[in-house]
Amino acid sequence: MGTDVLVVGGGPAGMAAALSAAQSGAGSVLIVERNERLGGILNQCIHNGFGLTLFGKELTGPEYAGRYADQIGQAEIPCLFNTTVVSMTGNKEVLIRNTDGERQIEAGAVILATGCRERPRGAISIPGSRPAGVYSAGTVQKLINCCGYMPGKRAVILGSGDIGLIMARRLTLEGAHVEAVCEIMPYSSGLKRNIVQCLEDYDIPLYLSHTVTRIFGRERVEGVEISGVDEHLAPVEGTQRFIECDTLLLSVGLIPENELAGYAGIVMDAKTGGPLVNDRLETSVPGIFACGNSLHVHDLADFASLEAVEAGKNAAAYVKAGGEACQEFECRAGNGIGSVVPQRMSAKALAEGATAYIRVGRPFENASIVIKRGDRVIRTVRSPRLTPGEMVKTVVRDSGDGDLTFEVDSHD
Amino acid sequence: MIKKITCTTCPMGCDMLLEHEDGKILSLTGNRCARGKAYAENEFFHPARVLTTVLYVKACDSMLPVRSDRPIPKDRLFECLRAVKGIRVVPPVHRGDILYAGIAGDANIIASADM
Ligand SMILES: Cc1cc2nc3c(=O)[nH]c(=O)nc-3n(C[C@H](O)[C@H](O)[C@H](O)COP(=O)(O)OP(=O)(O)OC[C@H]3O[C@@H](n4cnc5c(N)ncnc54)[C@H](O)[C@@H]3O)c2cc1C
Ligand code: SF4
Repeated sequence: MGTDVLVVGGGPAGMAAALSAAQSGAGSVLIVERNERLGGILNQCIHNGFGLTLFGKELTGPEYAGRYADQIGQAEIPCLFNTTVVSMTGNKEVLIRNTDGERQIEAGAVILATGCRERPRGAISIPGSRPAGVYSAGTVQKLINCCGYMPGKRAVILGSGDIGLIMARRLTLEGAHVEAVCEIMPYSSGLKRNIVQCLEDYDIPLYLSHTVTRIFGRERVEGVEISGVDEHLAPVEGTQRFIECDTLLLSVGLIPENELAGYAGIVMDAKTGGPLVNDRLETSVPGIFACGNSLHVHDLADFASLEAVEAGKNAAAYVKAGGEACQEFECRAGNGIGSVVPQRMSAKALAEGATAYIRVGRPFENASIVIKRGDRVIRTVRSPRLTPGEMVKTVVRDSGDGDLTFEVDSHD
Repeated sequence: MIKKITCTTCPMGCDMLLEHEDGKILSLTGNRCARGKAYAENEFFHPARVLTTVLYVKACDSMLPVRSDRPIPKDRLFECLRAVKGIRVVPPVHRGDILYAGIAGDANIIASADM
């Protein structure tokens, strides 16, 4: 069996990529999704705040997903549900598995839209026993929103990223008491609007530069010890405080889901956790593209979809015309920059104007992102406020020569 | 009295200080643009939020996500939530269907997904 374009994952990125590939003239497009429906993580994100950029409206996750799923239906794009892509070669031979067994599909181009997963609990080490009642924030989101199960009555949340903040509000609305949100960094990586609408609205305290240093309880969590941390993020002796609770939520970050990329021999970027791509969102293996949260973690579903539109277009073009050899330049994350996507840009794209997605490494006030080729500054993006939580998108246009370096120039 | 208000209209997230007395705004500082003023006035006089939650649908043994179709006054969120939890959903339901008309004034509770 074969298909022109095979999309792995049916979340907001996968759906947008499939639609765009079909609209750009790919003869056959197939979505392979391991769940029983389209929508990805959005099915469990029942809060509103999606779609402002794309639909000009504040939608909930399921509404956003539903609108896209309707379009997939109208375009008659086939989807294989309850089907997992288990491996893939660099020649785009994709092995899928479902209850019918295993099957290989030869694809003209592959788009990876597999989303991200939460950092496992092992990623942080808290001394103490391992009682029941410790969950990742995303698991609790799924339990409450999809299974109707409340995991506890009094909760402490570690990590103030958006999922942690959103869950503080969900738990409160569903009748639990959120005692505190602790954030080890001196700033929250969550969107400001979530801090206001999820914490301040319900008087939930946010302790910055604090972490959970102990979990109490034998069978079930009975409380946690929180401590202030110093500038090296080490707990400060004497600042410990006990908080009684029966549930601890860990919201300690997301990492792109990329097992498949490994099988195909795709080169990865340690900074984003996703594949290294060029301006066409093509990975180091020709004809394999990546978009959405599997490429780099997005703050907004809208941005994941918009990026995926490009991946779809480029995958269709690849199937029609084959790969395009073009001189490419590297995009390096310099001083103050956390990550840059894409990591390579072609001379042609740069001449026409290529989009770069930039994350800073820490917050800056009144600073600029400076893009240079050698000593020559080709673009400066000034901003009164830059935070790692909010991705900066900018277009780079230059017909010169040499690799690009992205840096933060803080005026203070 | 001083009330701290964070503008959420754009990613700048300006921290504003609103000085008020007897329900009247005396001054506002910290906003970088006029949209911040509009936001602060609205937040001060009529703070409202869209309510989202889930309802258990017995016939399908699964959860249906629902929301209010417009913001509900903040101080009535929990009262509305109690009313919403009393809704008995009978499938089939389509995204956008009104499940409860006229909650907290002219807001409706609508389904966020098909079921
Ligand atoms: C708790 C939370 C709150 C959020 N809040 C907001 C918000 O308020 N506003 C906003 O705009 N954005 C929000 N986001 C972000 C938004 O949800 C994501 O940016 C978006 O869902 C990313 O889309 P995606 O398609 O890349 O990934 P996903 O939605 O994760 O979809 C990936 C899909 O791939 C499938 N898949 C993975 N591996 C395989 C495989 N091997 N074979 C087959 N299928 C596979 C998965 O089953 C899944 O359906 C939030 C995210 C979370 C987690
Ligand atoms: S006051 Fe203006 S600049 Fe500041 S957050 Fe509001 S809209 Fe943005």
